[in-house]
Amino acid sequence: MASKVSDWVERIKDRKFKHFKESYEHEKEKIEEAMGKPRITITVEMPEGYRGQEKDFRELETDKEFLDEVEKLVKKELERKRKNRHSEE
Amino acid sequence: MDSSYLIYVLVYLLTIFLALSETLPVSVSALVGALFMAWFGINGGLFTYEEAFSFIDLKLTILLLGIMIVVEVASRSGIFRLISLYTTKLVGNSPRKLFITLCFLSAAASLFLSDIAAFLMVSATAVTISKFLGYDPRPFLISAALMINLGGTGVLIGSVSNMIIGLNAGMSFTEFAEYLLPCELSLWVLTTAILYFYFRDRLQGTPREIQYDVWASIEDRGAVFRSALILGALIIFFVMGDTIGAPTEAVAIGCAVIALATSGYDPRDVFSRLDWETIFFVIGFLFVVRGLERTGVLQEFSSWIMGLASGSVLIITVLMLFLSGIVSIFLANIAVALTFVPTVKLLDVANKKPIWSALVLGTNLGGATMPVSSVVLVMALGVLKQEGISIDLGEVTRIGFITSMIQMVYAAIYLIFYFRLVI
Repeated sequence: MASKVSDWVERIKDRKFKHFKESYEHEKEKIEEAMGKPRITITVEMPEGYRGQEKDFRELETDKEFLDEVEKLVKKELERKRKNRHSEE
Repeated sequence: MDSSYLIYVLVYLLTIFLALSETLPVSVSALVGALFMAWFGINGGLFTYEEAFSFIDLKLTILLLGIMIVVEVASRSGIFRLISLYTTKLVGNSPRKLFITLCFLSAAASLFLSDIAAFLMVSATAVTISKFLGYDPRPFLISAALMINLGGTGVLIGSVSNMIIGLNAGMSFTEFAEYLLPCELSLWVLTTAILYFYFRDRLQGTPREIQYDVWASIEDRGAVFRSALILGALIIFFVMGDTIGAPTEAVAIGCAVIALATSGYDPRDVFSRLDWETIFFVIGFLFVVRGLERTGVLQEFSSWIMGLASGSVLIITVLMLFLSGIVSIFLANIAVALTFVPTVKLLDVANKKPIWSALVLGTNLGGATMPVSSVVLVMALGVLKQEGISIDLGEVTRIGFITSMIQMVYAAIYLIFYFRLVI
Protein backbone atom coordinates (compact mmCIF):
# COMPACT_ATOMS: atom_id res chain seq x y z
CA MET A 1 0.00 0.00 0.00
CA ALA A 2 2.77 2.42 1.03
CA SER A 3 4.70 1.71 -2.15
CA LYS A 4 1.55 2.27 -4.25
CA VAL A 5 1.01 5.69 -2.61
CA SER A 6 4.67 6.48 -3.13
CA ASP A 7 4.45 5.50 -6.83
CA TRP A 8 1.31 7.63 -7.23
CA VAL A 9 3.06 10.64 -5.63
CA GLU A 10 6.07 10.03 -7.87
CA ARG A 11 3.88 9.92 -10.99
CA ILE A 12 2.08 13.16 -10.12
CA LYS A 13 5.38 14.81 -9.21
CA ASP A 14 7.01 13.87 -12.52
CA ARG A 15 4.01 15.01 -14.58
CA LYS A 16 3.70 18.36 -12.83
CA PHE A 17 7.43 19.00 -12.70
CA LYS A 18 7.89 18.29 -16.41
CA HIS A 19 6.47 21.69 -17.40
CA PHE A 20 8.28 23.55 -14.65
CA LYS A 21 11.68 21.97 -15.38
CA GLU A 22 12.54 24.09 -18.42
CA SER A 23 11.82 27.41 -16.65
CA TYR A 24 13.70 26.23 -13.57
CA GLU A 25 16.77 25.29 -15.60
CA HIS A 26 16.66 28.66 -17.39
CA GLU A 27 16.50 30.56 -14.07
CA LYS A 28 19.28 28.49 -12.57
CA GLU A 29 21.48 29.11 -15.59
CA LYS A 30 20.98 32.88 -15.27
CA ILE A 31 21.78 32.83 -11.54
CA GLU A 32 24.87 30.69 -12.04
CA GLU A 33 26.00 33.14 -14.69
CA ALA A 34 25.61 36.03 -12.22
CA MET A 35 27.69 34.07 -9.73
CA GLY A 36 30.46 33.70 -12.25
CA LYS A 37 29.67 30.11 -13.13
CA PRO A 38 28.46 30.09 -16.73
CA ARG A 39 27.41 26.88 -18.41
CA ILE A 40 27.11 25.68 -21.98
CA THR A 41 24.73 23.23 -23.63
CA ILE A 42 26.07 21.08 -26.41
CA THR A 43 23.96 18.86 -28.65
CA VAL A 44 25.70 15.60 -29.56
CA GLU A 45 24.30 13.36 -32.26
CA MET A 46 24.69 9.62 -31.98
CA PRO A 47 27.73 8.63 -34.05
CA GLU A 48 27.36 6.38 -37.07
CA GLY A 49 27.86 2.64 -36.63
CA TYR A 50 26.21 2.18 -33.20
CA ARG A 51 22.76 1.08 -34.26
CA GLY A 52 20.94 -0.77 -31.49
CA GLN A 53 22.72 1.23 -28.78
CA GLU A 54 20.29 4.17 -28.74
CA LYS A 55 19.37 3.50 -25.09
CA ASP A 56 23.06 3.39 -24.03
CA PHE A 57 23.62 6.64 -25.90
CA ARG A 58 20.67 8.46 -24.26
CA GLU A 59 21.73 7.28 -20.80
CA LEU A 60 25.05 9.10 -21.18
CA GLU A 61 23.16 12.33 -20.49
CA THR A 62 22.89 11.40 -16.80
CA ASP A 63 25.88 9.05 -16.51
CA LYS A 64 28.05 10.47 -13.70
CA GLU A 65 31.23 8.75 -14.90
CA PHE A 66 30.75 10.04 -18.43
CA LEU A 67 29.98 13.56 -17.21
CA ASP A 68 33.16 13.53 -15.10
CA GLU A 69 35.10 12.59 -18.24
CA VAL A 70 33.49 15.50 -20.12
CA GLU A 71 34.43 17.84 -17.28
CA LYS A 72 38.05 16.62 -17.49
CA LEU A 73 37.98 17.25 -21.25
CA VAL A 74 36.67 20.79 -20.67
CA LYS A 75 39.45 21.47 -18.14
CA LYS A 76 42.07 20.12 -20.56
CA GLU A 77 40.76 22.32 -23.36
CA LEU A 78 40.64 25.43 -21.17
CA GLU A 79 44.20 24.73 -19.95
CA ARG A 80 45.37 24.40 -23.55
CA LYS A 81 43.73 27.70 -24.51
CA ARG A 82 45.22 29.43 -21.48
CA LYS A 83 48.73 28.17 -22.38
CA ASN A 84 48.29 29.24 -26.02
CA ARG A 85 47.24 32.72 -24.87
CA HIS A 86 50.29 33.00 -22.59
CA SER A 87 52.66 31.91 -25.33
CA GLU A 88 51.13 34.42 -27.77
CA GLU A 89 51.67 37.20 -25.21
CA MET B 1 -33.99 17.77 -3.78
CA ASP B 2 -35.32 15.40 -6.41
CA SER B 3 -33.68 11.95 -6.67
CA SER B 4 -33.39 12.46 -10.45
CA TYR B 5 -30.68 14.97 -9.62
CA LEU B 6 -28.40 12.12 -8.57
CA ILE B 7 -26.85 12.09 -12.04
CA TYR B 8 -25.55 15.66 -11.54
CA VAL B 9 -24.01 14.73 -8.20
CA LEU B 10 -22.34 11.79 -9.95
CA VAL B 11 -20.97 14.12 -12.65
CA TYR B 12 -19.49 16.32 -9.90
CA LEU B 13 -17.95 13.32 -8.13
CA LEU B 14 -16.63 11.91 -11.42
CA THR B 15 -14.93 15.24 -12.18
CA ILE B 16 -13.26 15.20 -8.76
CA PHE B 17 -12.23 11.57 -9.16
CA LEU B 18 -10.68 12.18 -12.59
CA ALA B 19 -8.78 15.25 -11.37
CA LEU B 20 -7.68 13.71 -8.09
CA SER B 21 -6.52 10.40 -9.52
CA GLU B 22 -4.81 12.21 -12.40
CA THR B 23 -6.50 9.74 -14.77
CA LEU B 24 -6.76 12.78 -17.01
CA PRO B 25 -4.95 16.11 -16.63
CA VAL B 26 -6.90 18.31 -14.19
CA SER B 27 -7.98 20.79 -16.88
CA VAL B 28 -9.31 18.00 -19.11
CA SER B 29 -11.04 16.36 -16.10
CA ALA B 30 -12.92 19.60 -15.44
CA LEU B 31 -13.79 20.05 -19.12
CA VAL B 32 -15.07 16.45 -19.33
CA GLY B 33 -17.19 17.14 -16.23
CA ALA B 34 -18.51 20.35 -17.85
CA LEU B 35 -19.35 18.45 -21.03
CA PHE B 36 -21.37 15.84 -19.10
CA MET B 37 -23.04 18.53 -17.00
CA ALA B 38 -24.00 20.47 -20.15
CA TRP B 39 -25.33 17.32 -21.86
CA PHE B 40 -27.42 16.10 -18.93
CA GLY B 41 -28.38 19.58 -17.75
CA ILE B 42 -29.71 20.81 -21.10
CA ASN B 43 -31.37 17.53 -22.09
CA GLY B 44 -32.78 17.04 -18.59
CA GLY B 45 -34.25 20.56 -18.55
CA LEU B 46 -32.14 21.71 -15.60
CA PHE B 47 -30.99 24.74 -17.58
CA THR B 48 -31.19 25.99 -21.15
CA TYR B 49 -28.38 26.24 -23.71
CA GLU B 50 -28.39 30.05 -23.34
CA GLU B 51 -28.30 29.82 -19.53
CA ALA B 52 -25.29 27.52 -19.75
CA PHE B 53 -23.21 30.40 -21.11
CA SER B 54 -23.84 32.38 -17.94
CA PHE B 55 -21.98 29.61 -16.05
CA ILE B 56 -18.71 30.99 -17.41
CA ASP B 57 -17.46 33.73 -15.11
CA LEU B 58 -16.03 36.32 -17.49
CA LYS B 59 -14.82 38.65 -14.72
CA LEU B 60 -12.85 35.88 -13.04
CA THR B 61 -11.37 34.69 -16.34
CA ILE B 62 -10.30 38.25 -17.22
CA LEU B 63 -8.74 38.74 -13.78
CA LEU B 64 -6.81 35.47 -14.10
CA LEU B 65 -5.59 36.27 -17.62
CA GLY B 66 -4.64 39.84 -16.71
CA ILE B 67 -2.57 38.83 -13.69
CA MET B 68 -0.92 35.96 -15.58
CA ILE B 69 0.09 38.23 -18.49
CA VAL B 70 1.55 40.95 -16.22
CA VAL B 71 3.52 38.36 -14.22
CA GLU B 72 4.77 36.55 -17.35
CA VAL B 73 6.00 39.80 -18.93
CA ALA B 74 7.68 40.87 -15.67
CA SER B 75 9.16 37.43 -15.19
CA ARG B 76 10.75 37.51 -18.66
CA SER B 77 12.49 40.79 -17.82
CA GLY B 78 14.27 39.06 -14.91
CA ILE B 79 12.98 41.49 -12.26
CA PHE B 80 12.04 38.70 -9.83
CA ARG B 81 15.48 37.09 -10.21
CA LEU B 82 17.06 40.46 -9.55
CA ILE B 83 15.02 40.99 -6.35
CA SER B 84 15.83 37.49 -5.19
CA LEU B 85 19.59 37.85 -5.80
CA TYR B 86 19.72 41.34 -4.29
CA THR B 87 17.95 40.22 -1.14
CA THR B 88 20.18 37.19 -0.61
CA LYS B 89 23.30 39.24 -1.33
CA LEU B 90 22.26 41.87 1.21
CA VAL B 91 21.76 39.36 3.98
CA GLY B 92 25.18 37.74 3.75
CA ASN B 93 26.22 34.10 3.77
CA SER B 94 25.26 32.83 7.21
CA PRO B 95 22.98 29.77 6.69
CA ARG B 96 20.55 30.83 9.41
CA LYS B 97 20.20 34.40 8.18
CA LEU B 98 19.86 33.12 4.63
CA PHE B 99 17.16 30.68 5.75
CA ILE B 100 15.07 33.33 7.50
CA THR B 101 15.47 35.73 4.57
CA LEU B 102 14.42 33.11 2.04
CA CYS B 103 11.36 32.26 4.16
CA PHE B 104 10.20 35.88 4.21
CA LEU B 105 11.17 36.46 0.57
CA SER B 106 9.13 33.40 -0.50
CA ALA B 107 6.05 34.56 1.39
CA ALA B 108 6.39 38.14 0.14
CA ALA B 109 6.83 37.02 -3.48
CA SER B 110 3.73 34.89 -3.25
CA LEU B 111 1.64 37.89 -2.20
CA PHE B 112 1.60 39.16 -5.76
CA LEU B 113 2.83 36.23 -7.84
CA SER B 114 1.21 32.89 -8.55
CA ASP B 115 2.63 30.10 -6.40
CA ILE B 116 4.52 28.62 -9.33
CA ALA B 117 6.04 31.96 -10.40
CA ALA B 118 7.08 32.68 -6.80
CA PHE B 119 8.60 29.23 -6.41
CA LEU B 120 10.50 29.60 -9.67
CA MET B 121 11.93 32.89 -8.40
CA VAL B 122 13.01 31.50 -5.03
CA SER B 123 13.89 27.87 -5.76
CA ALA B 124 16.55 28.57 -8.39
CA THR B 125 18.20 31.12 -6.06
CA ALA B 126 17.91 28.90 -2.98
CA VAL B 127 19.37 25.82 -4.66
CA THR B 128 22.18 27.62 -6.48
CA ILE B 129 23.30 29.71 -3.51
CA SER B 130 23.02 26.95 -0.91
CA LYS B 131 24.94 24.52 -3.13
CA PHE B 132 27.52 27.19 -3.90
CA LEU B 133 28.02 27.79 -0.19
CA GLY B 134 28.01 24.10 0.66
CA TYR B 135 24.75 24.13 2.67
CA ASP B 136 22.04 21.47 2.55
CA PRO B 137 19.41 22.83 0.09
CA ARG B 138 16.57 20.70 1.53
CA PRO B 139 15.54 22.93 4.48
CA PHE B 140 15.68 26.00 2.22
CA LEU B 141 13.59 24.49 -0.53
CA ILE B 142 10.92 22.78 1.59
CA SER B 143 10.53 25.89 3.77
CA ALA B 144 10.29 28.11 0.69
CA ALA B 145 7.48 25.91 -0.67
CA LEU B 146 5.57 26.04 2.64
CA MET B 147 6.02 29.80 2.95
CA ILE B 148 4.86 30.34 -0.66
CA ASN B 149 1.75 28.32 0.07
CA LEU B 150 1.08 30.58 3.04
CA GLY B 151 2.20 33.74 1.26
CA GLY B 152 -0.74 34.17 -1.07
CA THR B 153 -3.34 34.26 1.69
CA GLY B 154 -3.52 37.96 2.51
CA VAL B 155 -4.24 39.62 -0.83
CA LEU B 156 -6.91 39.14 -3.45
CA ILE B 157 -4.46 38.34 -6.25
CA GLY B 158 -2.29 36.06 -4.06
CA SER B 159 -3.85 32.86 -5.34
CA VAL B 160 -6.52 31.71 -7.76
CA SER B 161 -8.75 30.57 -4.89
CA ASN B 162 -8.48 34.07 -3.37
CA MET B 163 -9.60 35.63 -6.66
CA ILE B 164 -12.59 33.25 -6.83
CA ILE B 165 -13.64 33.96 -3.24
CA GLY B 166 -12.84 37.68 -3.31
CA LEU B 167 -14.79 38.40 -6.50
CA ASN B 168 -17.80 36.37 -5.35
CA ALA B 169 -17.78 37.97 -1.91
CA GLY B 170 -17.73 41.39 -3.57
CA MET B 171 -14.55 42.31 -1.69
CA SER B 172 -12.30 45.01 -3.10
CA PHE B 173 -8.50 44.62 -3.05
CA THR B 174 -8.16 46.81 0.05
CA GLU B 175 -11.08 45.23 1.90
CA PHE B 176 -9.63 41.78 1.30
CA ALA B 177 -6.22 42.87 2.60
CA GLU B 178 -7.79 44.63 5.57
CA TYR B 179 -9.41 41.39 6.78
CA LEU B 180 -6.66 38.94 5.94
CA LEU B 181 -3.25 40.61 5.66
CA PRO B 182 -2.74 41.06 9.44
CA CYS B 183 -3.37 37.34 9.91
CA GLU B 184 -1.00 36.44 7.10
CA LEU B 185 1.83 38.67 8.35
CA SER B 186 1.65 37.22 11.85
CA LEU B 187 1.58 33.73 10.32
CA TRP B 188 4.81 34.53 8.44
CA VAL B 189 6.57 35.08 11.75
CA LEU B 190 4.97 32.06 13.43
CA THR B 191 5.67 29.68 10.52
CA THR B 192 9.25 30.88 10.02
CA ALA B 193 9.85 30.30 13.74
CA ILE B 194 8.44 26.75 13.51
CA LEU B 195 10.50 25.95 10.40
CA TYR B 196 13.64 27.45 11.92
CA PHE B 197 13.15 25.41 15.08
CA TYR B 198 12.52 22.24 13.04
CA PHE B 199 15.51 22.63 10.72
CA ARG B 200 17.90 24.46 13.07
CA ASP B 201 20.39 21.54 13.33
CA ARG B 202 20.68 21.37 9.58
CA LEU B 203 21.35 25.07 9.13
CA GLN B 204 25.04 24.62 9.75
CA GLY B 205 28.14 25.52 7.81
CA THR B 206 30.94 28.01 7.75
CA PRO B 207 29.91 31.11 5.83
CA ARG B 208 31.97 31.36 2.66
CA GLU B 209 32.62 34.60 0.85
CA ILE B 210 30.92 34.85 -2.51
CA GLN B 211 30.96 37.79 -4.83
CA TYR B 212 28.46 38.14 -7.60
CA ASP B 213 27.06 40.80 -9.82
CA VAL B 214 23.28 40.60 -9.67
CA TRP B 215 22.89 42.63 -12.86
CA ALA B 216 24.95 40.06 -14.78
CA SER B 217 21.84 37.88 -14.88
CA ILE B 218 19.85 40.59 -16.69
CA GLU B 219 19.83 40.95 -20.48
CA ASP B 220 17.83 44.16 -20.80
CA ARG B 221 17.86 46.67 -17.92
CA GLY B 222 15.17 48.77 -19.61
CA ALA B 223 12.79 45.79 -19.49
CA VAL B 224 13.36 45.51 -15.74
CA PHE B 225 12.49 49.17 -15.17
CA ARG B 226 9.40 48.93 -17.38
CA SER B 227 8.25 45.84 -15.49
CA ALA B 228 8.84 47.55 -12.16
CA LEU B 229 6.69 50.49 -13.33
CA ILE B 230 3.85 48.24 -14.48
CA LEU B 231 3.91 46.12 -11.32
CA GLY B 232 3.93 49.33 -9.26
CA ALA B 233 1.02 50.72 -11.28
CA LEU B 234 -0.90 47.45 -10.87
CA ILE B 235 -0.59 47.57 -7.08
CA ILE B 236 -1.38 51.31 -6.87
CA PHE B 237 -4.51 50.92 -9.03
CA PHE B 238 -5.60 47.86 -7.06
CA VAL B 239 -5.29 49.82 -3.82
CA MET B 240 -7.01 52.88 -5.33
CA GLY B 241 -9.66 50.76 -7.03
CA ASP B 242 -12.40 51.78 -4.59
CA THR B 243 -11.62 55.50 -4.93
CA ILE B 244 -11.34 55.66 -8.70
CA GLY B 245 -14.12 53.16 -9.33
CA ALA B 246 -11.95 50.66 -11.20
CA PRO B 247 -12.88 47.02 -10.59
CA THR B 248 -10.02 44.61 -9.88
CA GLU B 249 -10.38 42.67 -13.14
CA ALA B 250 -10.39 45.92 -15.17
CA VAL B 251 -7.13 47.03 -13.51
CA ALA B 252 -5.56 43.61 -14.15
CA ILE B 253 -6.44 43.43 -17.84
CA GLY B 254 -5.59 47.12 -18.37
CA CYS B 255 -2.11 46.63 -16.94
CA ALA B 256 -1.73 43.41 -18.96
CA VAL B 257 -2.42 45.27 -22.21
CA ILE B 258 0.08 48.02 -21.29
CA ALA B 259 2.67 45.38 -20.32
CA LEU B 260 2.25 43.62 -23.67
CA ALA B 261 2.35 46.88 -25.64
CA THR B 262 5.49 48.22 -23.97
CA SER B 263 7.50 45.04 -23.45
CA GLY B 264 8.47 44.41 -27.05
CA TYR B 265 8.09 40.66 -26.48
CA ASP B 266 6.35 38.54 -29.07
CA PRO B 267 2.81 38.18 -27.62
CA ARG B 268 2.62 34.63 -28.96
CA ASP B 269 5.57 33.70 -26.72
CA VAL B 270 3.91 35.36 -23.74
CA PHE B 271 0.54 33.71 -24.40
CA SER B 272 2.12 30.29 -24.84
CA ARG B 273 3.63 30.53 -21.34
CA LEU B 274 0.37 31.31 -19.53
CA ASP B 275 -1.06 28.72 -17.15
CA TRP B 276 -3.85 27.54 -19.44
CA GLU B 277 -4.25 24.39 -17.36
CA THR B 278 -5.50 26.48 -14.43
CA ILE B 279 -7.69 28.71 -16.61
CA PHE B 280 -9.44 25.75 -18.23
CA PHE B 281 -9.74 23.95 -14.91
CA VAL B 282 -11.48 27.00 -13.41
CA ILE B 283 -13.82 27.36 -16.40
CA GLY B 284 -14.72 23.66 -16.50
CA PHE B 285 -15.07 23.07 -12.78
CA LEU B 286 -17.07 26.26 -12.29
CA PHE B 287 -19.48 25.02 -14.97
CA VAL B 288 -19.93 21.74 -13.08
CA VAL B 289 -20.52 23.57 -9.77
CA ARG B 290 -23.01 26.02 -11.33
CA GLY B 291 -24.92 23.06 -12.76
CA LEU B 292 -24.91 21.35 -9.37
CA GLU B 293 -26.12 24.57 -7.76
CA ARG B 294 -29.26 24.40 -9.94
CA THR B 295 -30.18 21.01 -8.45
CA GLY B 296 -30.47 22.38 -4.92
CA VAL B 297 -27.75 20.10 -3.54
CA LEU B 298 -25.61 23.04 -2.45
CA GLN B 299 -28.66 24.67 -0.86
CA GLU B 300 -29.09 21.50 1.21
CA PHE B 301 -25.40 21.54 2.11
CA SER B 302 -25.76 25.16 3.16
CA SER B 303 -28.84 24.36 5.29
CA TRP B 304 -26.94 21.45 6.86
CA ILE B 305 -24.15 23.84 7.90
CA MET B 306 -26.71 26.32 9.27
CA GLY B 307 -28.39 23.54 11.25
CA LEU B 308 -25.13 22.13 12.56
CA ALA B 309 -24.04 25.57 13.75
CA SER B 310 -27.50 26.56 14.97
CA GLY B 311 -27.12 29.73 12.93
CA SER B 312 -24.14 30.92 14.99
CA VAL B 313 -21.67 32.94 12.90
CA LEU B 314 -18.88 31.93 15.27
CA ILE B 315 -19.50 28.21 14.76
CA ILE B 316 -20.06 28.58 10.99
CA THR B 317 -16.79 30.53 10.67
CA VAL B 318 -14.74 27.95 12.57
CA LEU B 319 -16.51 25.10 10.78
CA MET B 320 -15.87 26.70 7.38
CA LEU B 321 -12.19 27.21 8.22
CA PHE B 322 -11.56 23.62 9.23
CA LEU B 323 -13.92 22.02 6.72
CA SER B 324 -12.41 23.86 3.74
CA GLY B 325 -8.92 23.33 5.18
CA ILE B 326 -9.35 19.58 5.57
CA VAL B 327 -10.98 19.17 2.15
CA SER B 328 -8.09 21.19 0.63
CA ILE B 329 -5.67 18.52 1.87
CA PHE B 330 -7.15 16.09 -0.65
CA LEU B 331 -8.62 18.33 -3.33
CA ALA B 332 -7.12 21.27 -5.25
CA ASN B 333 -7.95 24.45 -3.35
CA ILE B 334 -9.42 25.99 -6.52
CA ALA B 335 -12.03 23.20 -6.61
CA VAL B 336 -12.73 23.67 -2.89
CA ALA B 337 -13.18 27.42 -3.34
CA LEU B 338 -15.50 26.94 -6.34
CA THR B 339 -17.64 24.45 -4.43
CA PHE B 340 -17.84 26.38 -1.16
CA VAL B 341 -18.48 29.82 -2.70
CA PRO B 342 -22.14 29.10 -3.67
CA THR B 343 -22.59 27.36 -0.31
CA VAL B 344 -21.52 30.50 1.57
CA LYS B 345 -23.67 32.67 -0.70
CA LEU B 346 -26.70 30.55 0.20
CA LEU B 347 -26.13 30.80 3.97
CA ASP B 348 -28.86 32.71 5.71
CA VAL B 349 -26.50 34.95 7.68
CA ALA B 350 -26.36 38.76 7.68
CA ASN B 351 -22.61 39.19 8.22
CA LYS B 352 -20.70 36.86 5.93
CA LYS B 353 -17.31 38.63 6.07
CA PRO B 354 -15.89 36.30 8.77
CA ILE B 355 -17.13 33.26 6.83
CA TRP B 356 -15.59 34.45 3.54
CA SER B 357 -12.34 35.13 5.41
CA ALA B 358 -12.47 31.65 6.97
CA LEU B 359 -12.90 30.15 3.51
CA VAL B 360 -9.87 32.07 2.20
CA LEU B 361 -7.74 30.91 5.13
CA GLY B 362 -8.98 27.32 4.99
CA THR B 363 -8.37 26.84 1.26
CA ASN B 364 -4.91 28.41 1.46
CA LEU B 365 -3.62 26.90 4.68
CA GLY B 366 -4.96 23.38 4.21
CA GLY B 367 -3.26 23.09 0.84
CA ALA B 368 0.25 22.37 2.10
CA THR B 369 -0.54 19.60 4.55
CA MET B 370 0.57 16.78 2.26
CA PRO B 371 3.12 16.82 -0.58
CA VAL B 372 0.55 16.07 -3.29
CA SER B 373 -1.99 18.61 -2.03
CA SER B 374 0.32 21.51 -2.81
CA VAL B 375 1.65 22.29 -6.28
CA VAL B 376 4.71 24.05 -4.85
CA LEU B 377 5.59 21.12 -2.59
CA VAL B 378 5.36 18.86 -5.63
CA MET B 379 7.68 21.30 -7.45
CA ALA B 380 10.10 21.30 -4.50
CA LEU B 381 10.27 17.50 -4.59
CA GLY B 382 10.82 17.67 -8.36
CA VAL B 383 13.63 20.20 -8.01
CA LEU B 384 15.36 18.05 -5.37
CA LYS B 385 15.10 15.00 -7.62
CA GLN B 386 16.44 17.01 -10.54
CA GLU B 387 19.42 18.06 -8.40
CA GLY B 388 20.02 14.43 -7.39
CA ILE B 389 19.15 15.11 -3.72
CA SER B 390 17.03 12.53 -1.91
CA ILE B 391 14.37 13.48 0.63
CA ASP B 392 12.16 11.52 2.96
CA LEU B 393 8.52 11.98 1.87
CA GLY B 394 7.41 11.25 5.43
CA GLU B 395 9.43 14.17 6.71
CA VAL B 396 7.89 16.54 4.17
CA THR B 397 4.41 15.34 5.18
CA ARG B 398 5.28 15.73 8.87
CA ILE B 399 6.52 19.32 8.59
CA GLY B 400 3.64 20.22 6.23
CA PHE B 401 1.11 18.77 8.66
CA ILE B 402 2.63 20.47 11.72
CA THR B 403 2.76 23.92 10.10
CA SER B 404 -0.73 23.64 8.56
CA MET B 405 -2.39 22.57 11.80
CA ILE B 406 -0.71 25.32 13.86
CA GLN B 407 -1.62 27.87 11.18
CA MET B 408 -5.27 26.74 11.16
CA VAL B 409 -5.60 26.96 14.93
CA TYR B 410 -3.99 30.41 14.88
CA ALA B 411 -6.30 31.47 12.03
CA ALA B 412 -9.36 30.36 14.03
CA ILE B 413 -8.25 32.46 17.03
CA TYR B 414 -7.53 35.41 14.71
CA LEU B 415 -10.97 35.27 13.08
CA ILE B 416 -12.74 35.02 16.43
CA PHE B 417 -10.97 38.08 17.83
CA TYR B 418 -10.69 40.14 14.64
CA PHE B 419 -14.41 39.91 13.86
CA ARG B 420 -15.35 39.98 17.57
CA LEU B 421 -17.32 36.75 17.25
CA VAL B 422 -17.25 35.93 20.95
CA ILE B 423 -19.15 39.02 22.08
